Amino acid sequence: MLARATTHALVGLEAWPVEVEAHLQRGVPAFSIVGLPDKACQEAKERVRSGITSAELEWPLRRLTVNLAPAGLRKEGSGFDLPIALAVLAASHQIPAERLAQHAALGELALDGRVRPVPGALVAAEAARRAGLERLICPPESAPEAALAGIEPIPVEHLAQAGAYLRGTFKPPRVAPPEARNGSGGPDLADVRGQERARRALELAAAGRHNLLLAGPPGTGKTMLARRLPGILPELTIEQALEVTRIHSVAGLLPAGRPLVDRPPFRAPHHTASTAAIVGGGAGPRPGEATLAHRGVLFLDELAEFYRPALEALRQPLEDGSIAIARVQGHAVFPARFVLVGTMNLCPCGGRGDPAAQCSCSPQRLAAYRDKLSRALLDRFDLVVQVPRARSTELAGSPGEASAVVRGRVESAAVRLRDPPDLSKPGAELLARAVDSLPLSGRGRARVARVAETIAALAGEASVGAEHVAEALSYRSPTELGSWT
Amino acid sequence: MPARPSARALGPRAERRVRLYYRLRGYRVLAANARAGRNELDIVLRRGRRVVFCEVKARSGEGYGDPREAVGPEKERRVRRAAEIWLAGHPELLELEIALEVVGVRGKRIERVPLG
Repeated sequence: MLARATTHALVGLEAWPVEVEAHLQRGVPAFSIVGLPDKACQEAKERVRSGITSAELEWPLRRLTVNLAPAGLRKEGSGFDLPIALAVLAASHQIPAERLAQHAALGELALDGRVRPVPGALVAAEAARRAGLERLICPPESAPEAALAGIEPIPVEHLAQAGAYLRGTFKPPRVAPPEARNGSGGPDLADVRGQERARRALELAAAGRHNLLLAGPPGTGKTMLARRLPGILPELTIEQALEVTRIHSVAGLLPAGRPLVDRPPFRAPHHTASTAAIVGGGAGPRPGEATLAHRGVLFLDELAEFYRPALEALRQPLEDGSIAIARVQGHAVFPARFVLVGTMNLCPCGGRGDPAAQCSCSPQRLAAYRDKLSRALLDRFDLVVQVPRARSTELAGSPGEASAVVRGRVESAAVRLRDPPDLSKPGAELLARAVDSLPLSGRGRARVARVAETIAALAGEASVGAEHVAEALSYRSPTELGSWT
Repeated sequence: MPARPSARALGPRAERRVRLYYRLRGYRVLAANARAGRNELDIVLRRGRRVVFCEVKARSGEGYGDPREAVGPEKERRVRRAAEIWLAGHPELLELEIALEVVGVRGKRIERVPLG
């Protein structure tokens, strides 16, 4: 009267195998779940019971104990419903226990027995495959995602269907893994008229994955430009796409019908976002916006309006490409290799930098505004560009270059950057002079050199010349911010 | 005899009617008002391989709520506990299927609901 099912618990971005044991004993009927279940998991009791009754299967009138092993691991969420129900059915001899043991299962149950999707199907499927299981019983919505892991998904819409499948009286449809679709990435760069310098910076940011700060008066197109960055980023490789899909799967953000994230993600959290929302956190740590933007763009509109601790928390991922979060319940390392794009005005009133407007800010307000961004954070923006107000002739002119054209250049430059061009002698001399005469830190110097490499790669040059270094230096903060020193 | 039986007699009268109700349906009464630990089991019945522990709730008329609502989680726990204790004294019954039921008596109506 003991039966087992296999499922997985999410810990950070990983799935740990969990054995669901159902034991029926004689005695007064009762149902208890042990093995450190959280509230949502404890409530599985009611859903499993209703689900089994609705599926016209029999609820065993025995003393029923369900154990989730290992007992020391916290079980969170509702994905345990389906495996618990299946283990109960196997323990009461309604489905063959040996057959159940060859499957992993994942899914939430509705009160009428329907199977609902839960986050993290991809990582659970991968863990099941590593454990040597070949099939995963899961909701139909999660099946394409699970197929990506190289496991055979068994899509079931209803608990009764899962039972019928295990008894061998129902053959579920085969699900093929989804293909990359390479769709377009949002709005097109052709919509932007003028702003040649900002467009150039955007192209450099895409080719070399440099962080970009766009500063200027309101309404000049900073946000518009930033939103067009994903469209010119190179395609994700299949490994990168899987990596990103895994993160979005755990976060429950995969759009229905598009289980593979094949374009670089674009995340634009509002400036009221908390530190934990941006870098991740919570009792059992959950990924934040920085991790969701992995391999893509983290866009912080109105950078200076963000809480300062939230911004400063980004310093570590900007250097390391990952975030280590430690909590009492456990710690997690989340990948966070993103291009940071920020926009800001030059002063609180926004009038600064606009020749036709008068800035009405007092020196004190201006100083307070600048204090919001630490030098340490500004130092990490490789490209700082002022976005001036466009002239009427520019706005009336013909559309700019289309995203597809720019992306072609960016992709070939990105390939060339895998073996970066060497620094030429004149380039090295200019860089050395810059270190001596400009407020350039060691990191600043390294970043200027990297931008110069990107510029050379975009130009198709074999080595980094003085003119490339000069252009790279021109994007360096804080001189670009005008009177910002 | 007054139209409304006194409240004092309501419970025992209802339990007598419920026993008759079960016996007419082929059940054998194993025990009535059996003490088990600190609690009491109203009726213990058996039919075939099924043992039923029955909690009787009576209401004299409409307007006092459904008698079955009167068994809350705490009462359910007590019935369960009492059943376990009673069964410990009757090990020969442990192999059988065991069920808990609440029977509501309101006026002439008798309604059964399974518990747990």
